[in-house]
Amino acid sequence: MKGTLLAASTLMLAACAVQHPQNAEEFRQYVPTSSFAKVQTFEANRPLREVAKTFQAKAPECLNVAVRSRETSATTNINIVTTYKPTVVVTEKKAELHVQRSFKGNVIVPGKPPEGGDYYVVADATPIDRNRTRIDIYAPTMGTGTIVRAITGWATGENVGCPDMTKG
Amino acid sequence: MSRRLVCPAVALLALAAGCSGLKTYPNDAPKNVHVVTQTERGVRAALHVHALSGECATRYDGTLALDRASLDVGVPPGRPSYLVVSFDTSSFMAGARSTSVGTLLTPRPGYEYELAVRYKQNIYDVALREIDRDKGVSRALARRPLAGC
Repeated sequence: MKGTLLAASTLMLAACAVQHPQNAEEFRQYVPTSSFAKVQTFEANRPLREVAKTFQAKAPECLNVAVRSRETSATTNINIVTTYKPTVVVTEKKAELHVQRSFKGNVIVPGKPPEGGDYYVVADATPIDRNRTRIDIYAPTMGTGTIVRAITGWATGENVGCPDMTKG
Repeated sequence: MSRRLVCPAVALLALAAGCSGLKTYPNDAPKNVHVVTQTERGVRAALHVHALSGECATRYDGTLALDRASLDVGVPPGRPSYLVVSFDTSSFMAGARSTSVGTLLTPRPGYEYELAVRYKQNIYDVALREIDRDKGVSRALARRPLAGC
């Protein structure tokens, strides 16, 4: 059962990855057109510079990780390492958090992912006024609940914990 | 399915620990680290203590289960230790999963430390503070990965 689920999700990953946005902007354009991804928007009651500072502190601390998925049975031998790569870009007018991920092991990803891996989540922070910031999070609808909640906590300042990247 | 989240340095430690199996940390040094743990049901937290040599090589000293709200731990002062907090969960559908996070700490003689460990709704936080009881002040210590030692 679990093997079937993992195999199916692996196939889904591979299928999704046929189209590889090569940079964050291409990913932003791709997400609204996909049935498996969406944009989530909210306001944070914090200035942009504070949101940016939290992104810069938490992204490398929490998202520079690798997750090993392993299952062995009489008929299954799955061993995949997923490596996440966070990047934070800050200007006076915007803070961006990009999360890429790449796979190693017995998984087939057709096509050519960008360097650093496929774009997984992109979060943009732009100022509304001096004390409020608009947050747009571009992410797949499945398997990103934990990381989206973590980024939301960083943006609002209400929870600066790290997402358990073994959980969806 | 088992999933494990690791930093590269932690992976090496996990391998090293895995070869010999987990053992109980003796915890016989004077208590200088106060661990405060908040986890939700179904999450097993543990503290793994490793001693460091000058070349950043590690020696696994043992593990303590963080199964109570607070625990006092003795980490030898004056020399670097690598403290790893792990969170283990398991369920029928998802299988066993483990996440760990580590930080270097060289306890200063005369100082106390508070390690706050939290895991709730798949979000974890491991925060370390250094406390000077004499002056009544404390400061947060940034996480120091083993890779930078």
